[in-house]
This record gives sequence, structure tokens and C-alpha cells, in this order.
Amino acid sequence: MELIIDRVSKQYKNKIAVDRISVKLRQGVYGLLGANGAGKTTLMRMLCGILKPTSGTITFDGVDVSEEQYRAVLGYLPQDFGYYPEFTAMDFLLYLAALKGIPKAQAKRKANELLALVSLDDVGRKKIKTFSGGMKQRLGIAQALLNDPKLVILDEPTAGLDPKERVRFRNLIETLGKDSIVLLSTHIVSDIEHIADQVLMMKDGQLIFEGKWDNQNGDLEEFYLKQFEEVSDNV
Amino acid sequence: MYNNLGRLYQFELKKLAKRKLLWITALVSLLCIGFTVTSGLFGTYYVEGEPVESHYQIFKTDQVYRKALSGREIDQKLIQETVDAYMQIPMGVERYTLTQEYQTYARPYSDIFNLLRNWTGMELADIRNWEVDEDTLYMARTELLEKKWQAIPLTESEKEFWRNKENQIPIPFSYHYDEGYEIALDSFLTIGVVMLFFVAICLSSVFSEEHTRRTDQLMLSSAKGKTTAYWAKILAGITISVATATLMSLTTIILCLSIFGAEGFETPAQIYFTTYSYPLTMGEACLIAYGVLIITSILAGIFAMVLSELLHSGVATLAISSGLIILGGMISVPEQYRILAQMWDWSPMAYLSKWNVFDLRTLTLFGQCFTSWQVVPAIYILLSVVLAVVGKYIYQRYQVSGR
Repeated sequence: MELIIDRVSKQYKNKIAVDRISVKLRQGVYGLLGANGAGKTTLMRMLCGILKPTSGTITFDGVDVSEEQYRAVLGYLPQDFGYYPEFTAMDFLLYLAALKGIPKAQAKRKANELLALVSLDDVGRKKIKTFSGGMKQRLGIAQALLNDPKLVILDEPTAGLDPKERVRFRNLIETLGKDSIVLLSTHIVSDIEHIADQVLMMKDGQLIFEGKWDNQNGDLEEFYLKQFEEVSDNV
Repeated sequence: MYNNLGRLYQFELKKLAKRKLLWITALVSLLCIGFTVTSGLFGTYYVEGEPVESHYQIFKTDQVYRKALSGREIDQKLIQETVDAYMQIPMGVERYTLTQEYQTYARPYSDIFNLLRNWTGMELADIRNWEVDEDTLYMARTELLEKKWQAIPLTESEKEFWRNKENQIPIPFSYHYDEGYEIALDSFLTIGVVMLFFVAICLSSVFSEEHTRRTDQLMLSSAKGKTTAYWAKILAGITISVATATLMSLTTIILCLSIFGAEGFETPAQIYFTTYSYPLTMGEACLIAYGVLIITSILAGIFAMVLSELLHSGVATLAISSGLIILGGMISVPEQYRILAQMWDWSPMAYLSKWNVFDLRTLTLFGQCFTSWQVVPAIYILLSVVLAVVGKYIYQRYQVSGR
């Protein structure tokens, strides 16, 4: 199981959002850190096939990002995802399951299982418009896992979760990382420290750090803040 | 991995059905249809400020007279009766319809009299002096047709086509009471406009809403999101368009037939469309017109949906669609610019009027003339397919950026 990102760039007119990133990801949890505008979301969108790179290739086990087979193994939680307010949580999951090509019976079983996993089983028949921000976020996490993805991309997954939910979520990610490649971005450095096996740090569209973060490297938060301060200084 | 087209289609229908706007527009449309069909029955006929008769009374009285003539051939005998009845009206009266003689003797034959007048161009004074002759009457109709064909102008092959069709119509024509079908055809333009607006309002945000709601990220990153989901949306949109157009058509026809009477299906369409020569009955003409309306709804629906994907804005899509519908009603290209006028009149925004569906202009393909209602639906279906394929290309190329 290998995700190969090979010299991937994304340029918007005069701005290079992602600049020739090359990295190979294997089974495990990867934490993607970076200040606002560093290019995290752009990179994640390209990894999900919803934004075409200006140059470079992305493949999962040899399958190109533009192909259906690639999307079939993908689970994606966008930073700011939309929902259908009139749909119930169960409808929403069943609809996403249909989009992922999951057979009906399996979809129903999986949706029930995931609603329980994210503690929404008691409100599965309620309309999403009645949900709080945290509940919606948990529903978003559930939908990303519907197809037992081999590649899980989570953009700011802990946003809107309360501390208790965040701890539960960390455990879930840890479990997922045993069988899949999990790439998650967050602003919260402690999330990365607790969950991620490896750290990827982005600045100005480039990867400035890639690898395991241990005590020999110093304090991750300090390092991250230092990068952030430099950005602020430049601004 | 399953294709899931059926399930995605059901979910897309569910998304559309959950919109309050759809039900409100449907209700308003049904009210419009009800009003259009029955509007002729309301109000009062006034002469010099004095109420003479209510429109409903006029309808009921004429209905009895028309039913009395139903089934008769428009032959020498009936023409003579009509002329004799009109001869009873005193000469030199300014408004003969107000005379007792008209009401008693002539009014029962007013439908036949109007036909004589339309075919021959004669007024009451001329008809009084006319030596009644069935052959002369039908020859006058033939001359009227030739003049009309010249004025449009039709090509020689088109004239020959219509002459052949004319020869297939049995003469003398038989008269039947067919008010239900006439009202259904009179209402056709309004029902067409209501349908086009309904489709524009309800389908203008099918794709754009996914972008504004930001659900596009989840859709496009899922296995079936770039292919099957697109067709599921298109199919659901077509279903809504066709179901609505069918419901509107059925409501109109059922209302017309139940209020004004269902008899008259077999009436030759030439009694209603004076210069149309295709051998059709009124019932067939109604079925053709409303069939065309249903097919047009497919193109209108696909157009609105594809435009919503192109513009990513439901409001902009609705504005453009509405603008085109209004333009279709406002702009008329003079008949002498034959090709331009025909292209405009056969375009979806202008086409839904009885005069365009039963147009004398034809499309000549491989030396054969095809009538408007034969060829336009086929063109619309072809255009729908092309538009849907273009839409898929636009949809698949969409890039989630910014925000």
C-alpha cells in the first residue's frame, strides 16, 4: 500500500499554492501541519482528485488519482463540507454510500455501525439541520469511513469536536492507521503529537519537514510556532 | 463496486422533492392552468355598457346549438340552411347579433357561418347575395390555401406536399361539437409557458446547489460521483420535467373535456385550423400538441440543469432561462425572412404555440417534407442528448478551488 506524490504543483496565475511536492506515504497516520495559506487544503484536494495539479502525478498502488478505482479506496473529510439539511443522518450516509458504489444491504449495515461509532445512533433518523456543529463533524467523519477506505484524507477533522470527542477521535484514527494510509491536517499540534506516526510540515506550498518527530527534534509545537511566526513576520 | 444508478436516482429525486419551492411552484402552476381553461366562462358580455349575457350563459346556449349540428356534413344542405337562417336577419341593422332574428334563427348556425366567412372572406351582406354552392365553397378554401402558401412563402415541393395532404381529407367535412378540444388547443400556449417556467424554477439549482452547499467535494471525490451521479441527476431532472409536463397536460385536457365535453375527437382539424391541410382529427391534434409539450420539457430541463452546472448559480440560471422564455413570447421574426423566422419559431422558447406546432413550413430532408410536429421533437431529443453529454464534460472538469 503506497501513495506516491511525485513533483506535484498547483499554480494559480501568479501564486504557487503547492510547489513540487514529492513524498511517498505508506500505512500509518501522517499529520500535515502548516499555517493558513501554506497549501495544505490545496494538496489534500489534489490527493482527492477534486483539483487537478498543474504538474506532477499522484498514484495509489499504481492507480492514478483521476481514476474511479482510486476514488473507490478513498475516504475524504473536507475542511468545510456541505450537507443536505432535509436529509436525516441515515439518509445522508446511505446517499454517500451509494456514491461510493456500496451495495444497498452493506450500506445500511455500515451506516448503522458508523452512526454508533460516532455516537449518532440515537439521532440517525433526525434531520441534519437540527444537528450541532460537532454532530455534523462526526457525521462527516462517519461518511469518510463508509467504504473502509485504504486512503483516508481528513482536513481539519477535529474542528468543532469537544475534548471528549477529540480523544475518541484520536483513538479511531489510531485504529484506522493500522490498515490504511491516514493523512490529517490540523492546526492543533497536540493532535498530531498524539496520533501521527509521521509529520509533514508545509510552508509556502513546500514541504519543509517530513518524517518522524521525536524528542531529539525538540518540541513540535515550538518548531511549528517558529515557522508560523516567520510567516507572520514576512506578512 | 456497484453502479448504484437506481439508488442515486432515487436520492436525487428525494433531494428535488424535499424542496418547498417545487411544491409551491406546482400549486401556482395548477392554479394557472385551472384559470386558463375556465377563464372564458367568467364575466359578462356587455353592449353599450349594459350586461347582455354572462359568458357562461353564452357558452351553454351555443353548446346546445353546436351539439344540435354535431355529426352533420358541411354540404349543400347545411350551407343552405345556414344562409337561409342568416337571411332572416333584418337588413341595415348596425349590430345584427343583438336582433331577435339572429338569436332565434341565425345563432344556431353561427359556427357554420363563421367557417363560410373565413373560407370565402364574405361578410353577411355578400352572403345574402351568394348563390349557395358546396363546390364553390370548397374551391374558395383551396384558393385560400394557395394564397396562404404563397404569402409564407412555401417552396414548390412544400406546396405539392400540402396539396397531396389536402387531397387526403374527405370532402365534405363533417361538423362535430368539439369545444373541449378547441379550449385545450387554445390553452396550449399558456400551459407551455407555465411548464417552461416551472422547469426553469425547479431545476435551475440542481447542480449549482451542490457547489454553493459545498457538497460537491464529497460527491466528486467518491467513486461514482463523477459519472453515475451526473446521470442520476440528469435522469431525476428529466423525470421531474416530464412528470410535470404530463401532469399539466393531463390536467388541462381532463379539465377541458370534463367542463366543455369530451365529444368531438373525430372532428377534422381543418374546422379549427382553417388553413392546415394535414389529415388530422381534433383529438389527434391535441395529443400531438401536448406530446410535443412533454418532449420540449426534456430539453428545457436538461438546458436548465446544464446551465446551472456551467454558471454555478441557480439565480443566474433562472434569470437566463426566464429571459429566454420571455424573449420567445416577445420577439417575432417576419415571415418573409423564411429561414430565420422558421428557426426562431421552432426554437424551444418560441415553439410552444399551436401555430408553430401545426406550421405549414416544413423541413425537407432527402427530398421528403416533414411537418414541424414530426421533426422538431426529434431535433429536441437529439439536442437534449448533445446538451447532456456537453454537461457531463463540464461537470467532470469542475475543480474545487478557493473558498
